[in-house]
Amino acid sequence: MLTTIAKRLLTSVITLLVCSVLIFGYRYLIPGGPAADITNLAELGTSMTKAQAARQVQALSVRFGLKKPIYVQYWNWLDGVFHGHLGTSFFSQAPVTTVIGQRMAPSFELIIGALLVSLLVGVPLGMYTAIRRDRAIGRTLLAISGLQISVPDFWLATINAAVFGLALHWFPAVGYQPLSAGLGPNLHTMILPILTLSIVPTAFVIRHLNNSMTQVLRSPYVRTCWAMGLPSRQVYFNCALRNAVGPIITLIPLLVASLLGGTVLVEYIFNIPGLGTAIVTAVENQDYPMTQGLVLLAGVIVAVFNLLADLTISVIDPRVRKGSARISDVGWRFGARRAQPAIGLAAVAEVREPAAVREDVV
Amino acid sequence: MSGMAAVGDAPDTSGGLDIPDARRHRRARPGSPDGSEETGWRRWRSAWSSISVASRIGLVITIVFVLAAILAPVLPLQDPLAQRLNATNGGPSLHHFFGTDYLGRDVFSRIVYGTRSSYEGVVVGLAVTMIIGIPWGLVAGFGGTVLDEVLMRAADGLLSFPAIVLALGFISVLGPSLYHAMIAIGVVAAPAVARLLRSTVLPIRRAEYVLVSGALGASRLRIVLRHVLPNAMGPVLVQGFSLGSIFLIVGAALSFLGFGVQPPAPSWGADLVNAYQYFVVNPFGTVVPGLIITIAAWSISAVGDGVRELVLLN
Amino acid sequence: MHQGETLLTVRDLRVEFPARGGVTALRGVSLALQGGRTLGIAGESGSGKTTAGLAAMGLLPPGTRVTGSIRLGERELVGLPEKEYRRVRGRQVAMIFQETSTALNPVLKVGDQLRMATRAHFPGSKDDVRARIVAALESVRLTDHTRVLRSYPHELSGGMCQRIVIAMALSCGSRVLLADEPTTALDVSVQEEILALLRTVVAERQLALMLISHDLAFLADLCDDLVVMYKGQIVEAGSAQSVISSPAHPYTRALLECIPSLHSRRGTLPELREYEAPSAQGCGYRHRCPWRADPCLEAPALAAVAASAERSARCWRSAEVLRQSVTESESVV
Repeated sequence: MLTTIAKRLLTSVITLLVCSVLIFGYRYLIPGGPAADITNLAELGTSMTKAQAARQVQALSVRFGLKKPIYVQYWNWLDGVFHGHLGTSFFSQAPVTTVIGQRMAPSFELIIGALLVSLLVGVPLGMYTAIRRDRAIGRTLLAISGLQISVPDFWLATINAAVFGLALHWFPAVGYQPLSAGLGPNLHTMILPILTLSIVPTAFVIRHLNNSMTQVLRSPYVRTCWAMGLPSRQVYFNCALRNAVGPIITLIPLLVASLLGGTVLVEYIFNIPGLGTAIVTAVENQDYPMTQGLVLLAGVIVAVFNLLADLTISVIDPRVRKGSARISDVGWRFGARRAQPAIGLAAVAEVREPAAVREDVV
Repeated sequence: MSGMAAVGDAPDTSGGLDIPDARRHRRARPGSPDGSEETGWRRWRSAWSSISVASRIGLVITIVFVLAAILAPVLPLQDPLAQRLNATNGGPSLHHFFGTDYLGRDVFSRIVYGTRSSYEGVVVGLAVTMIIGIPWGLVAGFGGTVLDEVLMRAADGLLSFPAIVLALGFISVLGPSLYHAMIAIGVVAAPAVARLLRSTVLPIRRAEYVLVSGALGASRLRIVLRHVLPNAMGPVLVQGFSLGSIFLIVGAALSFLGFGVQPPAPSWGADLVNAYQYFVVNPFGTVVPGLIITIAAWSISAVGDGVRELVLLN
Repeated sequence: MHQGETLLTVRDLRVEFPARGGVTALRGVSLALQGGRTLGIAGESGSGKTTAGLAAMGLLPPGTRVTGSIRLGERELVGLPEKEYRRVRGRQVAMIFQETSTALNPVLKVGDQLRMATRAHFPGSKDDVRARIVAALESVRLTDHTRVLRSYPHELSGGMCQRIVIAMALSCGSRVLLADEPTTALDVSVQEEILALLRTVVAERQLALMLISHDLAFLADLCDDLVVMYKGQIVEAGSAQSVISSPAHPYTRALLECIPSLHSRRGTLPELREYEAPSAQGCGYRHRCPWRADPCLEAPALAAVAASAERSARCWRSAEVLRQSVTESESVV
């Protein structure tokens, strides 16, 4: 098992390195390279003559180390990252890490809140639709969840904010009260955003769980349970649910990725001063260090969750624990194809099974 | 002595056994010897009848939208850019079917013109995804294990990223425009296609490998490509539709944030955010663009479901 | 418990699936299972043999129409509500299937699974339950109980997993065991072991065993009685030895010809072009039958052959077929 952990860790590291290269490198995509943003920076604020601007650009280029060869720049940057320096925001002149620290709390609350809601609501409903798939109510719930995925979440957010906030005045449509102002006021401002953010992930959870549960219920070992006369509650909870836990665990990283994207839109609409609005502002202002830092943060968060999920599977699945199967063999990620993740918010559907198009057995 | 089994309430305990299904036994139809090969228009007709109702509706809606996109300039619509500052935020009326927006522009014609940017975005995004993803998947599927591993690790890395965040990163560099946005999204989605293609190609390659070894080498590979690709394309095509639906919404989301289609061009996302500012005055305006986006995205995905049925049947 | 006590009786069982158009899987099947004896059900896929087993277990998908009678002792199973059926399954009648290692839950220890199944029917003290389980494991010749109980299914071989499933049925107290292709997924050598095991278990515990298979050679070894099915009907029935040595139905003959032997070249069944729905008129086999004649346009009933109460066949010309088979077997000897 230690080898599995080590291998997984190595994979994560390689993945992150690849991402870091990408994140670092895309600045050089534009014609003129980072020198161009220096020019923008230089022109922020006062107007100056062409010659003055040129000298500014030179000075800034040297200051930001842009004259050095590219791999040196990359190395310096990477080195800085490991020491916790993500650069200085062009816009606010504050270190990126400081800004992140200030704005992390609301986003954290949003994401964790929405994650919990989607799991608490989605898991039971997902199981129910699988168990009662022959009944109308099961099919209806599934159809509704399908619709939930097609609906643009930012639209839902505006409708929610508008209806519950502006029209009914139950919750504020904009604004944020931090926890330091008390739990009550905090929840008052956060409930609507959290619920809105959780709509699409919940649908995702329902569909994914429905898929895995259905496959589990069709498996030979569940049939053995029926054939030996086990009562249904035991079959569903002792026999089947244990096998559905794995898919839930592998689902969480996907949910987190989805939520990271969703939080950008939800924070924007509800005017919450979190990392989502931070990145939007950063892009508007062409504040590269900020953008870079935030994108990197997103990648790290998702990579960490992926790693944790895989490690958890290694521990709880006896097949992987005893080394007789690899995580990818065990089939916990089945069904991801059907459950298209949150639209616009997450990495797109992941297909891990060899048989990419699986026929539904009647 | 006889009794009817009242199995309506019982859970499905049959465990997925292969119980004979009348559907699988197609009787030969008159006019075709064994019922499996139909020519030309009959084929479309039978394809049409084999997909679900939802998919048919989706197909019709998508075709309508695409036609609207193509024909917009020649349709008898009001000018989507013409402002009437004395008639802002009006509700639906005979003159303006969907009312007017905050600058007095006709919402209906803006919606119709909006189909152009939305679907253009989808096409651009899909093109980028396929151009990057298909070779990626093929190389990973046919290359050696090391190459496969490396390419797939890279794919995993990219896949775990939140699409919007990465897209924002690209836009911060390239500047706000619909094309930049959709190229970014296309790049982000490419690994998904690569993964899918690789997983369909891999088993085939392993089967052929035995034959290839010692035999004809490269020319055989070309034959395999010619036979493998058409079969492997099925799932990729299905995924293309799902992605198309997602791209439509993401494109709208980016426009919503101000990074996609730039004003004053009509765009469903941008129009939505503008209408939202004036929700109190004109709530209808917030409903319309969002609803249209939902319908358009849903229809593309419904068509995809139908295509999936067809792929499975063949 | 007497030898030959009839444990399960099926009378005129009809099963119809709700799938488009309605598929009739069983068209009036009658048979009986006796303690200490093994009944073999032979047939191709689609003949309805598996459906018969599932019907007896009440494991058909919801919406299936079942008419006729399945009597387990005093109890009528057709129409039994699900809650009561659950008490019957495992405790009175159990079924094992083709899958071996996948028949057990991969994330639970074998011991836990056996315990769960046993306790559902015998909720006694931990020791009582354990005693039952150990006794069952002994019956299937898995002597290393502690190790087996502690293991996960993937750590055990296919043969061992199949034994464990059989043990589960025994531990739950079943006296009727339905086995659907129990050895098809196993190696030939392991098949032999399981065969021998089944023989022993049937004798020791006086079980009624119904063995379903497409492989006549396999059935010939183990079964006392044999029933041959085709398109949802029984076409021949009798003692295994007599049916196999001298079949009275052309289909049985054709099946036997498919078995490679030292004496004859291997035959093949005439190919089915496509599924032909069982026709209301005429013998269902006539399209492939080398003995077909005019009378065959009318469906024959299952009738006794050669004035023997022990054998029956569904063929107008069964007497001739029987004569032919007897002649051939004599000439071989």
